[in-house]
Amino acid sequence: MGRRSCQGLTGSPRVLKKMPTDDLHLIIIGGGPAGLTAGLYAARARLNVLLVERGSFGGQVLTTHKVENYPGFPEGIPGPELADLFQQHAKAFGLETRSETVRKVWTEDGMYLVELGDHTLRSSSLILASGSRPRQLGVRGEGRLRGRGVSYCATCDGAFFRGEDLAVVGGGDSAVEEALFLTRFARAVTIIHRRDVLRATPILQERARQHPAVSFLWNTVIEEILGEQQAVGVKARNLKDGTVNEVNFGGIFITIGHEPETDLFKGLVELDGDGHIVADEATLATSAPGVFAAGDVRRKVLRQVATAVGDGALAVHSVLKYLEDKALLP
Amino acid sequence: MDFWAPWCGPCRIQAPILEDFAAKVKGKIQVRKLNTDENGDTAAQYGIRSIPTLILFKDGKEVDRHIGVAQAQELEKWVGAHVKV
Repeated sequence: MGRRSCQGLTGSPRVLKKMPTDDLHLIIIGGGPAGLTAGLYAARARLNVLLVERGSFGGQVLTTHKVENYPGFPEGIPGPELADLFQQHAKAFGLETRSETVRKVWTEDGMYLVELGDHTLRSSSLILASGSRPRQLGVRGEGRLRGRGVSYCATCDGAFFRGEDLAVVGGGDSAVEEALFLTRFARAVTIIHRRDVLRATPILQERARQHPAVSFLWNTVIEEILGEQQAVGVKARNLKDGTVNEVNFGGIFITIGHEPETDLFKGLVELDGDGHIVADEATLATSAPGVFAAGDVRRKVLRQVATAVGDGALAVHSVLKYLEDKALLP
Repeated sequence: MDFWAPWCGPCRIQAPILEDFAAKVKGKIQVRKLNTDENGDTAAQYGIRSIPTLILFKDGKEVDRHIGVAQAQELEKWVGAHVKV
């Protein structure tokens, strides 16, 4: 571990002043909209709180070209800017954060232990806000060529594909949005979808159908991604007639949904069949006392920035109630 | 060599990790950055398709590349596999 990661918690006078040990009131796992909002509320409640994020603060907002449905920004706002604002806002109220990967989470004597790279933290409560990751196709060549022509984020990688023929796999809102975004760089974009209709919102479908650079390959699935050092195309199978064709693409963008980041929490809290955390709608309490879930990681109807921030606020409200009931607050 | 761009969120996480690493291996390994917005041709020449991408050069030749953020431990392990750190 670098020096950077050794600063923070144990050396923080704020933590030591309030508690005789290194025990925290709350650890928030995940630094997307849900986690950062929870961090803001917890910092304002003057909890001894630490937020741990392994990648970039902002979560999936960072990979959104423009957020058009978050209130307060009538012109829309670039995802990375909104992510920055969320982070600044939480830090303005003194939230401490760490850029580290959580290795393990378990419970012992009514406390929760969170193992980081080189040491373990103890906390009375947890908010799980680890979000989700892009779903993979699970075909040959995909893992090997990731970042070498296979991408899960058009806004991140699109600019490296100027003038090329690109494929977007999927049929939902994200797939169509990404396809439209990629037309800025690409010569042509082909949306490859396993069915013969899109799931995307009608307004997005209209935009895609009317765009001269966007075409469709219906009833088609990818069997393999081709290429040695760089992706050069796909082996595509038509589900109607069973024919298999090799089609050349300079880049393949995969947008077939997300799966929750809950591998660490198996055995700690109840998960549903898809791996989402099951939490009470009114309190966000999970099956483990003192553990709450917020944002995309939990089972819920609508996954948006607007609903994630609501979760973050509510989860802290429930944490405060939990700590009060256990007489853990000063 | 760290291929990065100002608009890339993960690149902002990578930067301080690399700075710490550079201080640690000073005199043994040079850590450089290349802005892909300003050096699009060079990025294309190296087949960069996603950032951050780290390329490890030894005696002027590419020996390995790492795509996506490399956390401190991961970075040391990755470089250590090719060069004595």
